[in-house]
Amino acid sequence: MNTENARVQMRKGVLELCVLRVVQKGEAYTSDLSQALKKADILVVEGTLYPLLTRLKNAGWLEYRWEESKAGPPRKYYTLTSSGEELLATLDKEWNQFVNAVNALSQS
Amino acid sequence: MKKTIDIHLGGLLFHLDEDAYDRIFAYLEAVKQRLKNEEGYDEMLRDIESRLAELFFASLHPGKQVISIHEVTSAMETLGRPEDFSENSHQNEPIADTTEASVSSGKAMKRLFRDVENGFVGGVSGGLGSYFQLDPIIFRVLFLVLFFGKGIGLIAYFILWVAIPGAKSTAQKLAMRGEEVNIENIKKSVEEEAQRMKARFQEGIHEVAPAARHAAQGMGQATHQILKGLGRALSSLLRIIGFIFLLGLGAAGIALTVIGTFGFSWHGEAESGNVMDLFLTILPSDMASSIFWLATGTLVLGLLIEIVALILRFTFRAKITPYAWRLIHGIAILSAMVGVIIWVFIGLRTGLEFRQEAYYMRSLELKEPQSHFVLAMSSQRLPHERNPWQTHGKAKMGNAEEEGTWSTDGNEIYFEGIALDIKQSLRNVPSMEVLIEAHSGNRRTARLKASRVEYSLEVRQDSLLVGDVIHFPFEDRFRGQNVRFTLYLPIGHKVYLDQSLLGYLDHVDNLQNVYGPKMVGKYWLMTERGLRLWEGSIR
Repeated sequence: MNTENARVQMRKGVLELCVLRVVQKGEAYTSDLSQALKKADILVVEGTLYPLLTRLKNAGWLEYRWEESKAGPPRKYYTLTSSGEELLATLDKEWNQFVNAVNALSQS
Repeated sequence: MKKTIDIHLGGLLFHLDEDAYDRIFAYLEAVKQRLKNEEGYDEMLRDIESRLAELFFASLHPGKQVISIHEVTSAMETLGRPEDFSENSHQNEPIADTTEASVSSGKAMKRLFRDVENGFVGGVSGGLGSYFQLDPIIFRVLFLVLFFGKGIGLIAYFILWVAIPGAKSTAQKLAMRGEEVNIENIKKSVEEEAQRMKARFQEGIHEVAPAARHAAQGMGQATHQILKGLGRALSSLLRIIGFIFLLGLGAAGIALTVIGTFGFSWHGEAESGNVMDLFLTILPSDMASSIFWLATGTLVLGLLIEIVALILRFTFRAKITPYAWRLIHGIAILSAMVGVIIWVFIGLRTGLEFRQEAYYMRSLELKEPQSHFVLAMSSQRLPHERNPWQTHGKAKMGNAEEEGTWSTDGNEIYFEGIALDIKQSLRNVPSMEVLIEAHSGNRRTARLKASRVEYSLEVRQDSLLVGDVIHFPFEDRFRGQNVRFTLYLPIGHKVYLDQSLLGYLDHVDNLQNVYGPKMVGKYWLMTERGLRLWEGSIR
């Protein structure tokens, strides 16, 4: 039985929500994000974040500012926009409903 | 000592080991392939490169200035496989491939590339072999066989060479072999390549033998460097010479094909004198001889530019920027190409002048009431037999079975282009028919050229003397001029074939079914059924 694929798909599904949650806690740089998500065992590699962040930024949910870095090239620090906050609130609600619904399936 | 390569990444300069560079290059290529259709591609790529730069930067300290394969591998682990970069992909899905079939088979779609590295000339056969999963030797032999068919193989090869792109990047090499373009395969391929190069290099050292290595050590590092440079220059040079040689052969092949297509064979060579004269005997008369120098000059110039640049680059280590190098290379190739194009043009124009043939016929009645003749060949002198410096050579044209000698004094072209036949006459008077053939671009000029061909035919009391050399004005050029003498003999008439006719009687029909050597020195009688050996006495 291949559980790996199901796990990957599940993580992929909630990745967007998780990124928004981490960014909400404070400005975040790509490697900050990846570290937080790796710790939570949601993400394995950083690469996946680049298309996602670009997409969220293009959709107007995230914005970034440049910050000079002593450890290499300037970094992009991401923050939530107001519409990003709204999106997160909606997704949070949906997530809770989802978790409840899934749990309810095994209880009944 | 290891060679390093400098790269710019996120606005910073890094020194990378060669193998580290290969690895990261292949990696970024694969990532690009993966992301190329996504929105915000450029931005993503910049971010990824910045992050790589940051990771590399973090690994450097005053005691470590060069990025090695180790840092590259760890950076790649942090960022993930190229497959991880696309949001909505499945695991292990092949990149750069939209066909459903290839996803399920796990093998990527195969593409036709030239196998530049394993090829003998341009890698066309290697590429075809990879594509059809056959041994490339099959295609090599095929091209070689076709080459002898009027050069078709060469032209086909040449066209394929231009039309099929070479497999340069690792991704293309994999696509050529039909392997999936993912990071494992790219890595594997790059590593194999590195191994191969290493092996080849070591092989080279072994072949050079310990003595040479010893000598190299003795001569010191500088000399060793120069030798190495020379070796590289030489191998590049050989490839370029091969390339230009093939271009030249291609042009010649096209010219030969055109001439061959119009059903006419011409074959000539100079034995002495100057090549220019040989060339002028075939060049269209409205073309200035300077075109020969232009075509040859541009070809040679291209070659020379390349040689000088290579020597400067590898032997004297001249600093040539990649831009300047490309420029020089471009000029050299352009020059050579111009030469080739002119050659093709000359070939086509010349070939087209063989397109139309015309005949000019004269008939001579032999009114003397002779019942028998002596037929003989008078051997005439060619210009070079008087003056050995005159240009001469061999040529075979038109109906002639054998090649004959030609020679020119600059005003006239002299050529042993005659044939002989004996046939039954329907009238009771013997006659000699002279059929002159010539070719040109149209029938009118072909007839004109035929009418200008001069031959020699002497009638004496009881003998006919045919000259073995024809001549025509130099400006008419070699256009298949030849003369066929046919003796029409009424039934009951006899002819004595002189020893001098040996070599001209190989296709004269006779009842004895013999040729040349058995026909000369004898009397022959024309009967109702054909020519028959006459063994009776002659009054």
